[in-house]
Amino acid sequence: MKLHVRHRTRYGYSSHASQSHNFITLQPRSTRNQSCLTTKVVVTPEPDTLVSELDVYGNLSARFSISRRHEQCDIVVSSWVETSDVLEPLPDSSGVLENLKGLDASEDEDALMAIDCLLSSPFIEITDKLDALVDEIPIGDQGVLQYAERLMTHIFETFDYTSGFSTVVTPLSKIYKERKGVCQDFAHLAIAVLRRQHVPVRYVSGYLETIPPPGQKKLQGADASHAWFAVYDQQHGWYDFDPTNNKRPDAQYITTAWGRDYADVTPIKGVVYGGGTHSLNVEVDVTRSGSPPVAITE
Amino acid sequence: MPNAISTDDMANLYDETLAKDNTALPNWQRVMDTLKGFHPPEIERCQQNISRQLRANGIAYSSLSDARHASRPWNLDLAPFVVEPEDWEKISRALVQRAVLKQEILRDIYTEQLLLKRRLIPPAMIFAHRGYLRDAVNSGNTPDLPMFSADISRAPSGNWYIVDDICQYPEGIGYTLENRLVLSRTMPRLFRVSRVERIATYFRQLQHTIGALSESDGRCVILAYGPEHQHYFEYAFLAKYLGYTLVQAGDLTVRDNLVYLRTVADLQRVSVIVRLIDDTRLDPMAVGQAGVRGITGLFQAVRSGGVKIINPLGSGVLDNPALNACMPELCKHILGEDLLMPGPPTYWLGRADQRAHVLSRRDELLFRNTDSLGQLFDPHLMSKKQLDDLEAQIALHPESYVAQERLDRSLAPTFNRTTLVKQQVTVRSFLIQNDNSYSTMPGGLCLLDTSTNGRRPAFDSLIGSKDTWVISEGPVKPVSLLTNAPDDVQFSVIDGELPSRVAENLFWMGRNAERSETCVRLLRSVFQTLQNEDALTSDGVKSPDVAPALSAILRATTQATGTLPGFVGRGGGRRRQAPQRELLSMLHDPARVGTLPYSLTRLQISAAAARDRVSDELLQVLNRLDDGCSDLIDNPTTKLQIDDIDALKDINEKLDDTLMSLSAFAGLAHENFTHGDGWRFMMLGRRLERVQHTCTVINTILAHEHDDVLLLETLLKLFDSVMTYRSRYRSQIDVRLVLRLLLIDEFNPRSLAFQLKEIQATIALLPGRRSLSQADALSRLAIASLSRVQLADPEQLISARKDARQNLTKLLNVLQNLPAQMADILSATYFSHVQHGKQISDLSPAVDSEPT
Repeated sequence: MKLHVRHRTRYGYSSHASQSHNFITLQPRSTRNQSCLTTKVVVTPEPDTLVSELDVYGNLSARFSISRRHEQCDIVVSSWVETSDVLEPLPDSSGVLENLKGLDASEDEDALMAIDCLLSSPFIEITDKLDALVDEIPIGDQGVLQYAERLMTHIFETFDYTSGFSTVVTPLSKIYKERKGVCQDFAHLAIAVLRRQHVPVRYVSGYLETIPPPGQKKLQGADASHAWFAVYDQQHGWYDFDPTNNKRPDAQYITTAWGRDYADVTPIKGVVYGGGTHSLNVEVDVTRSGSPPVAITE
Repeated sequence: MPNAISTDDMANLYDETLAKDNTALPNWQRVMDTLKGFHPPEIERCQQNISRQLRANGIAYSSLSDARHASRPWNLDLAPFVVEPEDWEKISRALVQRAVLKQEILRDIYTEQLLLKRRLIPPAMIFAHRGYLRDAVNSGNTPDLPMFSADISRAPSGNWYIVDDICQYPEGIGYTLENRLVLSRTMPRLFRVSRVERIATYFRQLQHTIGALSESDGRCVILAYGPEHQHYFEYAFLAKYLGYTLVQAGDLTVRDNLVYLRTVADLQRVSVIVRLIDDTRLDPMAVGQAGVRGITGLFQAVRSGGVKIINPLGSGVLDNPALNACMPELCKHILGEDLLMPGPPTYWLGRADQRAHVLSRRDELLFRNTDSLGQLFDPHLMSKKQLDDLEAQIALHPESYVAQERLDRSLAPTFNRTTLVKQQVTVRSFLIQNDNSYSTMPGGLCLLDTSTNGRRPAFDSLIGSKDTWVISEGPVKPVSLLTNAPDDVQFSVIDGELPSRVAENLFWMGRNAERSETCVRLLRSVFQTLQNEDALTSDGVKSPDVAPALSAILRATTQATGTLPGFVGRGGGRRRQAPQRELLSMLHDPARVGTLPYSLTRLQISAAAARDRVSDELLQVLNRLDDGCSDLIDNPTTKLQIDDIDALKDINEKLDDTLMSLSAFAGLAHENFTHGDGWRFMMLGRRLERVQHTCTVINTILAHEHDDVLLLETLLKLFDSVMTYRSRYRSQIDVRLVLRLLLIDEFNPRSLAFQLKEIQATIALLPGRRSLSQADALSRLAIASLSRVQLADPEQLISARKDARQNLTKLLNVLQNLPAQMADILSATYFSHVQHGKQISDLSPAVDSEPT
């Protein structure tokens, strides 16, 4: 399936900003299940040099700064991505110890990242504070992928999706206690439970195509960024799981970037000098299309 | 002095003064013979000499309670640490090997990670360490390790071993330099005959290496924490010695991937940053940063090659003590050699088999979190609960822990007051990359402690340090940074490179010095009046002759120092009658704005922030002022009987001393300071402040029509103009002549006109003004003020008629506002600098599609 993603971020400042620095991770990468056909970043006002680079995990990030006075900043990322229509069935996978052993013997980049994804990360400290959740659904001798699928369902079934309750800095213990949150929280929670049981797991950020209820027109800008997790099996590599929708990501999912957690792949971050208070407006549109986005063909 | 080592413990430790066969080492013996020949008074004199010199370099902030820790953390021992030539040759070779090896490891970690992929280093060991900077991986640059540092000790076996690697940024270079300068000055003869290798060779190579990295249009700066940091004075000392500008993060800005220093003139390109700051505080845009402070965009500037950082970003990963577990194999693999100097036998707990082994021998070993700065856990000293906690932490994060065998450090002779005892030593050594390998500083910072059983105190809680004397086989060649500079490297010149922050502090240094001086002069005048005339009783003012004069000075004191209500506001009359309490507060209360200790403290704070620009002599005066200030705060006169002549005399002496120091400060600031932009800002501060005080004091004292001789004389004395008056007028004191002298006389350096003329001339020379075609707001203010004074006529200002005195008040009121107006313009033009950025990262993107 071919999809357009248009992600527009607008900052408005209450007074002149003298300088701003921005760092965005919004351009989809190519993966086993998708190819990024085109992707482009357009910033207004025109920034100083815009540099795009691959980070340690192979994600494409762009950095730019604006060194003159400005009252707003408009960042539009337009991408065209082809996703695989076939969802591979989940293969049999190794148990925890076997998985670790295989991991240790492997020389490839994926295995290296998997080792990184066994450790604490900026937003996810490995602690015993979530052990009660682990006890609800312990891994035992299950294969890591099969377990991940069950954990996905468990979170889906026992947590409420509630937007506005949390931000990225809300502690996981609170998400667990209240049993509610949004996609990021569920991904982080799953990651914490898996790492606590020595299963390599990473955070994936991206988009999900939404389909309006029958008879209704899709609203512009109604889509949003999404997040889920992926687990590494030493034989078969990484597999994705979306606990928010209890679904293994398929052709409707577009992967932007992955990392240990949200901190590694923050979609947009920046520092502004001056500018007073700022407002932020984000619009995301994911639409099916067989031809490149207009902004890119221009 | 702590001396916790028992004789039994000592017997097992290696004695540095002896060879393996227990005979005395020749160079140690020579030094020891000399030291043992010193008589106790001689030793004490030397020790005082040392303290005085250290104090001069690292001013102890005794009067600033919040900055008290800013003093040098430990003392310097009179006995040097001696290293025999053949010993040093081996040590140096091992350190060079280690530096080369560390550099290769660094390069691999931040490029291909082959050592990790092949498991020569367990990847989790690196990934779990706080020094591993993911932002620095695949940056397109292969990192170098220009500076390498290591703490080394000698085990009971007599073999040296590595205690710690210090790769992110070395601390202690400045202390090492300071120790050398101080000790060689204290015992010049012993130093000379001992054939001590010069550590200046290291600094020359350091300048050479840094210089080779910098581009012709870029400067090199030393980036460090500010005066609130306990090693700030070390940084300032080092910066001054090397001739690089000392900056803080707020002084630098990134524009289009290039780094600039904000100076009073303009933005100046920086091409090399020697950083003495942790990675996590450098760029708020990077992952895992400690806050919003830092230099936004710096990492990207580094990645794009717009600036070079020494040591490079991410080099802290090499400080990980767990690497000791792999070093022997890594050395064989990378260099094809045996490792010459290992660390203590180390077990990385990220490996399950090692963990089991270690926990079975738990109490024999020491534990350490790999992220910590040298802190060791000793199971012998831990409670059951602490041990359980440690084991729980190890179970959760085994990758972040190591265990190591206990290795005790050797002993060296050290002075405990005037007797020689033995204490344990660690030597911090410093290496710098040269054209094809590394050079070792022949010497180092020898650290003293008394911990046994392999324990080791933190760097900042050590009990003392020593200068390390590496003995040369042959005669020593003199080295100086100034004379033998290699000519293929361009050295940057500091002039014209005045960071806005430093300029502002110099401006305030000038203002605060003048404020303190005014305060002292006024108080002295009050106390002299009280002391000289037995005109007063404890009931208050008796003599009708003195009363008006004293009352006027008291009012002027309050007005000029801004310590309202004081002798002016509500209750002023009552306090003028019984001034003791208010006067004592002016003398002793550091917390109240405008008092003498307050102004002196502000002076120290502004001087501290401009420390790398201040000459050694000026520092000594600052120290003397600080001592005086501490004395005022710590030994206050609690109760003052107004007729207690002894107490008054004591206070007057203290004020005289302070005034002498302030005068010395003013003189040195004038004579001993390059007359560049920094000096100009300082002088502007002083002159503007003086304008304000002069106006206020004259206005207050002459506002009432008490033109009695005593009052006028006091006024002249306050402005140091008694002699001038006598030589010029040789007449009875006349209020008009006094005014002429204090206001209009352009040749009296205390007059208003003189200040205004100097201000006008100084402003014309400030950066960016030489090319101004016409006067701007700043110059217009100066010109207008000067003209007003020049055109004033004392006859018009003061005469028998009442409205004439109002003219004087009007004029002084206008001039009194000048400093504030000018300071505003100066601040907007030259000092507007440190802007704090705000994070605008979108913390709430978690609004995803509703579940289907």
